Amino acid sequence: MESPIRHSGIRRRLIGLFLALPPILFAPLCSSCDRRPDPAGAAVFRFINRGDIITLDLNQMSYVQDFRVTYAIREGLFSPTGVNFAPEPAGATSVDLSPDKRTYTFHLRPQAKWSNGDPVVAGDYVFSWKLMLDSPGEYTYLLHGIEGAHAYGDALAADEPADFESVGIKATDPHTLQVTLAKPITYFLDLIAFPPFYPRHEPSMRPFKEGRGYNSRYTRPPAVVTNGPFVLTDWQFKKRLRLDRNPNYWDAGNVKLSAIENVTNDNALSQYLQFEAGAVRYITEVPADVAPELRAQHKVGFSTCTAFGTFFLTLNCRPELPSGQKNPLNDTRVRQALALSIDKSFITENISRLGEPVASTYIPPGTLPGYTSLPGLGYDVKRAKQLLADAGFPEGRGFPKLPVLYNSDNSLRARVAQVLKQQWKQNLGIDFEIEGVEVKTFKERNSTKNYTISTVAWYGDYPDVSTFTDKYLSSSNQNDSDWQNPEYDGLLAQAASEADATKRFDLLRRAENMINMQVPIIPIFHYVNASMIDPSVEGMTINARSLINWKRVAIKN
Amino acid sequence: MNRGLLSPRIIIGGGVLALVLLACLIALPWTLSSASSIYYDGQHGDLVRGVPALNPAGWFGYDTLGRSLLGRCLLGGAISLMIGIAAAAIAVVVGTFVGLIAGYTGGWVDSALMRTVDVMYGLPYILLVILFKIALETPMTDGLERLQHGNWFSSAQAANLIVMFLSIGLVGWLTMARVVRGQVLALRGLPFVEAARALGLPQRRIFMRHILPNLVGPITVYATLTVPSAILQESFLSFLGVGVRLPLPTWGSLASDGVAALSPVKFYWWMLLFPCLLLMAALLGLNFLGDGLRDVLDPKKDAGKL
Amino acid sequence: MGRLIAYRLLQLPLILAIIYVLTFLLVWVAPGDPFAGEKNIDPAVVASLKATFHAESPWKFLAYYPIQIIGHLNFGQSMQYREWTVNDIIKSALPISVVLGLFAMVIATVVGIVVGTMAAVRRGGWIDWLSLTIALVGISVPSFVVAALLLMLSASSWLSGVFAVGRFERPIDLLLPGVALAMAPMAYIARLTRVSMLDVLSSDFVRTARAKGLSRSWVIWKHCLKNAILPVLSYLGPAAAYTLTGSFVVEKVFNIPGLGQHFVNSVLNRDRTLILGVVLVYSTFVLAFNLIVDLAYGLVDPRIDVGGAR
Repeated sequence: MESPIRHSGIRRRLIGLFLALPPILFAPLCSSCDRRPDPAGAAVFRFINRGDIITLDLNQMSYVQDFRVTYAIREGLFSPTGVNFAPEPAGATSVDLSPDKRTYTFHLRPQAKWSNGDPVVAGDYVFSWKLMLDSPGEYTYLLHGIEGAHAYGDALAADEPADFESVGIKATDPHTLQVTLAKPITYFLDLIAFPPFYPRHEPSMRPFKEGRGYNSRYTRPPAVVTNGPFVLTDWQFKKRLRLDRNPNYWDAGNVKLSAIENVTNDNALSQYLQFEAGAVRYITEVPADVAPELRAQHKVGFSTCTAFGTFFLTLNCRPELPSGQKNPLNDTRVRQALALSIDKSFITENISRLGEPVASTYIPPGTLPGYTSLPGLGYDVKRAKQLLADAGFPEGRGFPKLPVLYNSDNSLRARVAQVLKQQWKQNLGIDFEIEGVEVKTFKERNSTKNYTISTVAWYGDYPDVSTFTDKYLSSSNQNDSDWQNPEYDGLLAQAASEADATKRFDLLRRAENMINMQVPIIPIFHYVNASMIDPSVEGMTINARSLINWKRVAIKN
Repeated sequence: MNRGLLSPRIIIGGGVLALVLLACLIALPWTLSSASSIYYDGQHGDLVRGVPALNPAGWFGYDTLGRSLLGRCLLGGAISLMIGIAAAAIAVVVGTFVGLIAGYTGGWVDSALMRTVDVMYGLPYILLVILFKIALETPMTDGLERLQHGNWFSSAQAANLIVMFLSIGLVGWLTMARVVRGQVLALRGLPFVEAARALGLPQRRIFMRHILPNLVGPITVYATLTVPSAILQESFLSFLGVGVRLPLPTWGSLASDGVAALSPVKFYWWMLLFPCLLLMAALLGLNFLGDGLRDVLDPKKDAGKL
Repeated sequence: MGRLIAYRLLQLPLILAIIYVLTFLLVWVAPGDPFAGEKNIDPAVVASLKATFHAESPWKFLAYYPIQIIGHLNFGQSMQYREWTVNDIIKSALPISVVLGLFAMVIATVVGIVVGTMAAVRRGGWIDWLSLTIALVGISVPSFVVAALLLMLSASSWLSGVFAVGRFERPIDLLLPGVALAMAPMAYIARLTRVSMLDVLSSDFVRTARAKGLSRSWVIWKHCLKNAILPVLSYLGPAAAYTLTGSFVVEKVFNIPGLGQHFVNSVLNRDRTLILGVVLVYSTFVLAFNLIVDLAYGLVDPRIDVGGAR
């Protein structure tokens, strides 16, 4: 009997086609992932930003990687580009402050232009700030210090008539912007230097209008028009962003780089390998799995800097736990006992290993000029045991088994949670359970207070104490501990209306100390940013808020 | 048949598997006792990332928290194998049930069930497993908490394991259902079954006597092959951080820790090597055993029906 | 043949609709808010975002998106990546995964069939043992370990300059991710081929062919393989659908901007529109490939009546 198959010719042809496909298909694929050849001698600065770019829409933005790109392509009245990244005039040339410190009159730089050549006028700022209120985002609340802004936003949200005339944002002429605050804000210029306060170019956004706001797609090239030292010329999803020097930028002569390329790579190992191979010159945040090893080996280019953020445990202070049990953490003594019995230096020396300063206070020391915290709680097991006994749990007896929550995508927190379990067992005789959940569930559990103890972090948004202390106001929706203290609220209210900087810091110092001593949170360590910078890169100063003055960055030959 | 059952594939596969399994099980009293030096959660601050040493607890070195990797690998093996077996059991029970009903009943029941299987095959299972796990874990924890109201066991830990079995078993039964249905259809047409029916034997008896015994072979083969794939799926979930709860180890989570410790600057080789070696030994054993059993029990099986 | 295609094409929208609803249910009961950002967001902001995405309630969602999908093949805007529509994401990611997947499938099919055939012909011999052990090792270690080791290998000093680490510049950069991706289907194909080859080798026509004086290797590679390949072919359908839509692990480790990562990330981000988009793409692939395989079956083996009931 012969083989029953007669159609072997077809099969052969099929296989041939199969084999020929990859080369055929590689051509279009490669044109989209290949590196563009650079003009001879021009310096392209390639770097790996933290994770994906989530959005470049000023209204929606909240991630540090998005801000990092925004600082290169946009500019506000002031920019965080001065000495020590203090705000310095950028889109404005000067500002006048009224004697009651409530009215700021900004004089715009006459030669400032958009990337399409249009002049930047005061109306562009008014438009952008109004848009922040009309279509609110995570950082809209920063504008609420402006007179009438909060009421305007609330009225819009409630679908009531809202009159923007009542908001203290006025373009008195094309080159003058007048802003009136509800109360003096000592750090207002720092806010002004933050992207939510940057101007936008309305004519180029018009095609994207949707309801009261705009579709975020207005930020994509070629439509996007910006006013910063660079322009976004190419953005390929999950692949790269290409930023070219903006010839229309008012200070274009001082911009050193001809182009910047933001490379996407969120794999710790491959990031480092790319750096080693010279394919990128800068890794903004070296992942926690690789960074300590680079530090231990003193790798060239590896640098660290204390960050403007603290890693801490948040303790649920409600009288009842989510399960309905009585919450032992409602007792300040229990919280203090938990805080006093953690050997934090073990964690920084063996787990995080980046030379993080052990935290006894909420606010990272030395990150705010002129501000020092009062000392917090240290490591004192004896006192912890005493406090626990006073609270009715001698030697930990009768203490319920409570869970410590962490987000499982973060291996560092997973390890810290396991160490805490061990330390509390050893030092206090209390058994804890650890509970890892993926990140969105984690966020929901924290914000709905459906947790007992959770491993969280807080990074300051603008360089002032209030970016930390406001979180624990009774009324704050960031107050995940649900710790309510009228005295604390009072101190902060007093500080908010205090125009004298020194006195204000005194009030805030006392408030911060209440957090450190009453323990709605247990600070563990202050973060350290680890980055890799190629020695050929100049003008990059690493700093607590991981800001980059893109104008100054250059590549040495 | 005897010669076949003792085929080298089965002996070697089964032997390696039995060795690993026995080691994991025998060690349980030690790996679970906090007094032992290979206690799975016994952290030793001075041994953090310790290299392998000569004392038994240090044979495999120590992990990032100074825990004996030997203890964690052994307990991790027990848990991984338990997950594999439980998921395979779910696959066997559900798959056999569905396959039998579909194959035996025929008609619209058959096509309804088989279309369901088709639909489930059409779903991206990784996405489905993660989604399923995330969606079910919270209600399961709450349910268990309400059910026991006390402290017999940790509701969260139990819910985590149950959901893990379910979500892995969720996709495993599809193949089983197809195989069993195909086998039943084939058997129904065979002369001896026709004869039994012609003799007027009761359906039940035909089923128990003639159909079921003939299904044991393919079911065993597929069950053996489902275990390794379930273990690998758990390792993938651990890699994504939605696996078994820490500090409980599994081979998958240990391997994933090992990969995280992999860097060109400093290579903590023992953290990757030992869990992977054990995992590989067990999975190779299972696969060999499965292949060997298939050669023996199921020589004419319809390999096309995946 | 025509009837089969018509029947399947009619079934397709129904199956896809069921898949859509099932996935939607799971997506909706999963805890976690797609709009949760790095910090807690003001409820008013969340409300306005939900309104933008038609996600205030499951009904509003179902009233909007399915119609968009049916009417305009528009999956809507991604809830995580606000600048991009799901269509943008699929358009940019799918071709990459398809190319890599095709490459991997070619490796897997060719190597798998050769290894499986050799193992069957030398049943019990050292080739049988060695080849299958090697094939099995690839699937006895988690894919993230294999991929990470291959990445390390590509960056090692002996291979410096051969591969562009972490990115794609030349066709050779596809090699290692392709191999990592090919591991699992290769092992499976090798085992399938071995088993069905053993079946065929013991059948009558092989003995007849040998008796006619045809050479051994001619019989094996020409006649037996044609028949032994049928089960492999039916495996290739789902396997191709699976491989061509990308693998999370390989794409993550090798930093490939393909579709595979979205199967995991979209769920972790609760990016509802993107989840439903990738599920539909995947399901369409599976159904289409199953259809293609059934048709191919008819071409390879005319005895099989593909028009009949399955």
